[in-house]
Amino acid sequence: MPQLYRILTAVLAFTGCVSLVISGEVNPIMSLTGIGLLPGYYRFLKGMPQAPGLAIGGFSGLTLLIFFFDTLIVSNDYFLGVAHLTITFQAIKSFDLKEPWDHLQVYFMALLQLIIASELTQSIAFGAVFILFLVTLVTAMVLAHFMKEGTVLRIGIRKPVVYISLLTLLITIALFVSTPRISGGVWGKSHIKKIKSAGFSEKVKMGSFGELKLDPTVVMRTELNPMIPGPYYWRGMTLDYFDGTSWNSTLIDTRRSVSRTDDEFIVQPFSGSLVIQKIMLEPIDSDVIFGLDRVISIKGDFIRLEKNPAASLFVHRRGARRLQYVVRTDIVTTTQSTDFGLWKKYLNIPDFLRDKIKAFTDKVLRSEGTKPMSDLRKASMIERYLKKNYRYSLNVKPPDDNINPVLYFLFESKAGYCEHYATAMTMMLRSAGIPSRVVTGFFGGELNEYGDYIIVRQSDAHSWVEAVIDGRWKRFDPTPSVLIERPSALLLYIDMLRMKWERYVVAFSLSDQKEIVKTVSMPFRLPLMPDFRPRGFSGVIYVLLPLSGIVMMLFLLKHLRLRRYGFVTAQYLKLRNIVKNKGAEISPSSTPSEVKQEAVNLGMDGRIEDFLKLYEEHRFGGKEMRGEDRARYRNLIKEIKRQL
Amino acid sequence: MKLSREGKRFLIATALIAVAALNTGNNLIYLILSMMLSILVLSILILRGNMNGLELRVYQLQPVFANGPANMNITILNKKRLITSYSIKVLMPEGIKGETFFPKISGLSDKLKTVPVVYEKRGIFKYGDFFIESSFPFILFSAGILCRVKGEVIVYPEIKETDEIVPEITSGRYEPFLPRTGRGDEFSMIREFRYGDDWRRIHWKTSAKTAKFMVMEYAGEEPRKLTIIFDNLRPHDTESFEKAVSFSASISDRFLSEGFFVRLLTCRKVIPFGSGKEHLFKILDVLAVIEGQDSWECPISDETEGPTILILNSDGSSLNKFIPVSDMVIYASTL
Repeated sequence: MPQLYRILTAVLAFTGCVSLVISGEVNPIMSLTGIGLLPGYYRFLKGMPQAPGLAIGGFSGLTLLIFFFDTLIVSNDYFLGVAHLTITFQAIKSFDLKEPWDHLQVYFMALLQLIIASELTQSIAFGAVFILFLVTLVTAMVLAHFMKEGTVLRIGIRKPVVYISLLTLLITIALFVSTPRISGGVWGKSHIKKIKSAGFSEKVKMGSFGELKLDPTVVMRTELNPMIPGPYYWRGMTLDYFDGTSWNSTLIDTRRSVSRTDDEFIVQPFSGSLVIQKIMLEPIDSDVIFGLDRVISIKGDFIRLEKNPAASLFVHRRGARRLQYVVRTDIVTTTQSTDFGLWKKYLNIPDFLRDKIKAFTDKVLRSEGTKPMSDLRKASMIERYLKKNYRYSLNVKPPDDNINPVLYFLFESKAGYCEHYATAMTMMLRSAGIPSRVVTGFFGGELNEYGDYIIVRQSDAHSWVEAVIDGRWKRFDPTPSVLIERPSALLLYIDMLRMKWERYVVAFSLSDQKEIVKTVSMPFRLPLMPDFRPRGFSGVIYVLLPLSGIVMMLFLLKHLRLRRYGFVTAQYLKLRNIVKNKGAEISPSSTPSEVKQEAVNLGMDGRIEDFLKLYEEHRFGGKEMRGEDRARYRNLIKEIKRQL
Repeated sequence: MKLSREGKRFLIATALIAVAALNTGNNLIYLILSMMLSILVLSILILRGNMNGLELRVYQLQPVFANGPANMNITILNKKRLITSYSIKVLMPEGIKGETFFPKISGLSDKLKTVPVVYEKRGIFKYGDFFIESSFPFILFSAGILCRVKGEVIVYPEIKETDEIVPEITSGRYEPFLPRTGRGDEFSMIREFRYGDDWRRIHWKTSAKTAKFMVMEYAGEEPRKLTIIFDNLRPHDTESFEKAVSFSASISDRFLSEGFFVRLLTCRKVIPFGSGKEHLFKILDVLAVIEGQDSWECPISDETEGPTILILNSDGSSLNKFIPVSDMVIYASTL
């Protein structure tokens, strides 16, 4: 066995295990057995003998026991249990590689590992592992072919391997792009972990944004058209009720479906120039979706979009998937308030805070005189006061249990982050009689020049204030600006690759396929593809219907082909097929007597002779087969079929 | 196109991955599915491309004896301009044992191989269907194409060592076949050279005059003659019959190589006395295609000349009448 083949087997085994490890989801303790691959393949590459069968059998049995223990107790997840099991089996197999079939087992196991990994991670590292796996698998299979033929040492395999690998890659891409995307979702659950984003649920505890601000995980990548200058406020959730320690959204029951025209959800009517954002939102543990300012419409691969009176947008039954959508936005600083009935909600202050906050607000507003002032001036003053007199800090010690976090921020620490500023301002505005609410979302982001898109991270999570000024909602941001360290060019370049991977591979969708078809068919003015989004059982039906159609067509074609010949010949052709399927050597040139001989060799009795006699009489004798002969002819072939 | 065992497993794995992809809608599983499908598609496309544009040429080196080693020149021509064909296996038609393998045939080139083959039966062999097969590039599918090769080759009966079969013939103790002593130095005549004559006896002067090779013949050189009567009357047992044919060919070869003049009598066909290699092939030509006959219609006299070996089908054969005039009787069933 050539050393190259051994190396390829080792590479495939390692690739499979690595694909699981890079997902970051496997249990390190349960995957420790993977270390066994090192001595196993070292021995194998050095040509050392296999481990004794008893040891292999013993370890395999033990592994199965551990698998049950793992599935039921340690991981408590069948899927992860199988992942750990494959790593251990790969390690055991590395000590027991003899026959070519053993190598194939390693390949299939590595393939299984790759599939499991694809459910555990969607990172670009998987893409690198996948390409390595593809090239190695193709090389190994070509080599296996030459080994089977015994010519491996006589042929230069480099050229065929390079060409075939390239072709495989190209066809893989073509098939990937053209395979219809259907998500059945009939059984099983997704193992893709959602990004924890505590700031975008219906209840946000004060202090939860602090953790987010330290997390550099990318949440969103956005292309803007036209590329307008910042600041960018990616609006998400609105929070209206503060109980002293947490913000809540009380509008959960007021969500309504957004109407849809063709494949676009129209949030509100508008005609004019808009900013288009192509957003790729990572799987976060919230169903809220983000967009700049006043969202006019959304186009995306989801069934239902919902909106609450505070203009927050939600995707119905989002699941753990990456969302890709296009938002058309009207960039404005104020929007008409239509939720007058809710203004009372937006003036709510916890009783135990009311007096202190009121006194403090009055003090702030009086600092510039006692003349009556407009709501806008009041709001601007409060915003300016907080920006000027308070320090931005993520390292704020939490207050003692008996001290309220808002009061602690306003009167003691005088330092905090967006959440503190927004809460304080909202409370102050409300105490001044101005309806206001906290909005959570993202602020800013880094422009990646390599891909002309904006990267938004968890650390860009932000909260700000919206207040009703002269009947319109206006945005205020009392948080002082902070200098952000810009990532290096290399990191930006890597992120661009990630963006491409996620945009064109992980998030490739039916909409993209439609776009391709539209672009390709443009010169020919073909009708547009119908808009259907097969999911769940309907998806399965969409697959089964064409499949059953193809099967039926093949069946009909086969029978029509026989019909072309008439009854006598069709039955004779059927006989030939029956005999051929039983292993006889029947070629197109085989004569009836040769067919007979083959059938006799297969143990057929005189019925074949009777059948062929009838065939020859009616096929060549100018007689038409009728009545009794016809029935006998038909029965004979049935009997022959049964006998063979 | 046939699926190999590995191919079947690969196909099942692909089907399962397809189900997983459809169920989850996970693009990475779609990616793996696309890889599996592309390997399957390429297996078929490359295999077809590999087999296209190939031409098979066959030339059988003569002579060919049944069940004996023979060499066949097989040439495969790759008519494709750019594509190299790999791993081409040539399978022989039924009746010829042997196969050959061409690991690589570059575009617009040919490869010749001399292949040891064994023909299983005597007779006129029509080449018929050669089969070119390949499973390149992977081990998932194999495909073959039939190559109809026109032409035929005569396959002579198997020549065996006769010592073991009938030791008395060649033991040197059986009187009729012992070499005779004669007056070998008594000049008799000058005659034309015949195949098998000793070159040293060429009479150069006469040869020069007549412009033909002439040899001197001596009175004492009376040829040693052997008649083989081969019983090919029906009915006969096929296996014994074939053994008898092979035996006849073997003793013809044996005695002709010892300088005997050998005559073969069969139903309908007679090869008169003659010697040398050329004569052997005349006999073999008859034996190669000999079949059972219903009646003894020997066109020449039944009289024997020199020692006679009678090869009988069975005790009840109607050629029993030759037993009295035969020096040796061999029953096919004992061979």
